[in-house]
Amino acid sequence: MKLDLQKTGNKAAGAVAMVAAALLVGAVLVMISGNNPLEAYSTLLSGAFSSKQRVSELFVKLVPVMIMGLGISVAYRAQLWNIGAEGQFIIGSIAATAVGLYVKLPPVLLAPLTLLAAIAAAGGWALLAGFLKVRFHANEVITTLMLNYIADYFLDFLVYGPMMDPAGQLPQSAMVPEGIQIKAIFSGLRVHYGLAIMVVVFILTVLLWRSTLGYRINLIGQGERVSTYAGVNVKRTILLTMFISGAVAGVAGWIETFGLQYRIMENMAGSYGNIATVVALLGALHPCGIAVASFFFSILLVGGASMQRMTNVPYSIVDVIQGLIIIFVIAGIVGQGRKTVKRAGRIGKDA
Amino acid sequence: MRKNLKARIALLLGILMLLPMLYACGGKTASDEAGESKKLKVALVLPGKKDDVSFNQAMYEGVSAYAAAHTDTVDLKIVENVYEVADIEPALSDFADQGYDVIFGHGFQFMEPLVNVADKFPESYFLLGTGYMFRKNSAIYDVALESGGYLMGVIAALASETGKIGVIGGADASEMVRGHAGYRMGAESVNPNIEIQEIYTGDWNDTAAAYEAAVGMYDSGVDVIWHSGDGIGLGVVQAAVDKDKYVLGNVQDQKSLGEKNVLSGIQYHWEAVIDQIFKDIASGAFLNLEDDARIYWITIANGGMEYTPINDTKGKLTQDELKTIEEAYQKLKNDEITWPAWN
Repeated sequence: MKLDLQKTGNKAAGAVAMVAAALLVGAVLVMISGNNPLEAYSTLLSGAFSSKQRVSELFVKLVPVMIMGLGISVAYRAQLWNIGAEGQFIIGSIAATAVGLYVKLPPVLLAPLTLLAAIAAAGGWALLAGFLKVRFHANEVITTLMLNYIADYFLDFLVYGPMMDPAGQLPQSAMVPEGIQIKAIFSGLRVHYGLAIMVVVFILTVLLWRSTLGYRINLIGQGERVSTYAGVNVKRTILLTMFISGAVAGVAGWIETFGLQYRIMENMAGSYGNIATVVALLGALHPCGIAVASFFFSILLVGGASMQRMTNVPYSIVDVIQGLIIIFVIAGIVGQGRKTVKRAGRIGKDA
Repeated sequence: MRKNLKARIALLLGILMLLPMLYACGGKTASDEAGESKKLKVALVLPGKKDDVSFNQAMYEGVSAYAAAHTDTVDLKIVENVYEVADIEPALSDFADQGYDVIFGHGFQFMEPLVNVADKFPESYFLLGTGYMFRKNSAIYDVALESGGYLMGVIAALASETGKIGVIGGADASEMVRGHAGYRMGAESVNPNIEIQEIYTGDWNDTAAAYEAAVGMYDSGVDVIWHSGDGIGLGVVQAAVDKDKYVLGNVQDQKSLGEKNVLSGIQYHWEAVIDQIFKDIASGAFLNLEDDARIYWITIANGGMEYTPINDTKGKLTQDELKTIEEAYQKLKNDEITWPAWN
């Protein structure tokens, strides 16, 4: 236990070091681009905090990133490398929007039904990859990635075809009825009550790791044989883990759709899926770590956009800094995770 | 041990989170100094790169030209690559929130976020690049492509030896349809018996489909194609290079994409309407525009379009024919062509 904690501490320190390294390299690039890195970074920070609007945007970004990061972490704890959060987010949004648009019910009943639809559809989408793994030993990295493409193109098909808003020519669906939209907290700002749902998801994740189910999920991550000896039904737990992981991403999709866009549209997931993956790893799969990492990335997203708008730092630099952080994080994970990978390899042979 | 470690981590993260707050306080001076003068703060939000040899570049050059000519009254900020839905509305509203007076959203996809933000910030003026929705404090700028199309039709018909010319468009939106109709009129004014092939790829950015369509046309004997597109244009120009045939460009001078094969093309000059837009804003007329005056059209007549220098590497145009082209251009410039009623 003590050793475990030591590792967590190392990871946290490692995460901070990685971020610092990325920012340092980024600063050099900013310098090469002919700008002052100090000015660039201070604009980045003030760009995230210096007005009500910007702080509001910070939380607007925080909600999907943190929820999806938490969802991904559930699978990663079980060594299930679900990189399909984007697809699960999209499928959840589609299902919720379809129910919201085409099912006629009073809002009180319709709102929870749309949430259930998002959870069921997104969870089911992740379950597909889980099933393929359990039944055919298909690598979930590949299957979840491929399922992202299917979800993406399915969304395009819908918004250009059957679900296209009859009132317009844009690739998007009609708006869901106002009664089931998630309200904004302050008028004039976009931040909405999805924030409260984010807190609920956070608490549920914390509770999950204190429950027997959470213990079983962690145990699977320790290795299939260990889990079997401990009397855990490995296959069933894998399926359940994938479902939970996907369902959480679906909740994020539901919130984004009902709290912000009020409809599904082309490219709606943006880069949230990738960022959430990095956030989960950077946060060392711990709910608190993920919360901090999500907050940091939201600063980077909102502040980076402002930096691009307000200074002459070219657009590409913002992307490069974000990319650098991703590279350092992954490099760090690979470095730290050598042992884990070896162990995972052994499990693969056993199975 | 456990508590110790956690506390240390918490402290570290706490400092990390505090840092931005500190910077935030320092950051305020930056926005203060922006308000030093009474310059008009103008923001241009582009969906792509400012050097895309097309839609974005034309607008970038147009607004930059205006700003360069009015450095003492205009403070211009340009932001590129804002195309993700998640980014559009925050970008527009952040500019408005930061006190920008005039905000350009350059593209059809900006329409809904732009009118939303226009509602929230009645003090700012918003301009939408193509579209149909507007508010009291917003308007649209667009291209009346028929005059440019007409000129391209004249050039294509004169340069063609086979008597077969083509035109390729993206989606069949109304201004494209008008452009293609103009192309037909222009071509037939030179050669009433000319055969004109027309294809819409159905998508603005499907370069591959446009390439295939152009290759198909060239293979069937067409020897000059005009494209009325954006991303699709790159495919058409590439096909012309591969088949070594002539192509006519659109939006921005595309000679650099095919030195031997880009015969000419339309060059947009958004500054033609940008000037008027700023005049209307300054005089206050902007807020009281009639609904049908809320679209600022660039035409050849108002200097919003011209043709890029004829680059006749194959020597297919005679001096007389070059003169005919210039005459057609002058006619369009003097607004002497009668257009059919567009619906």
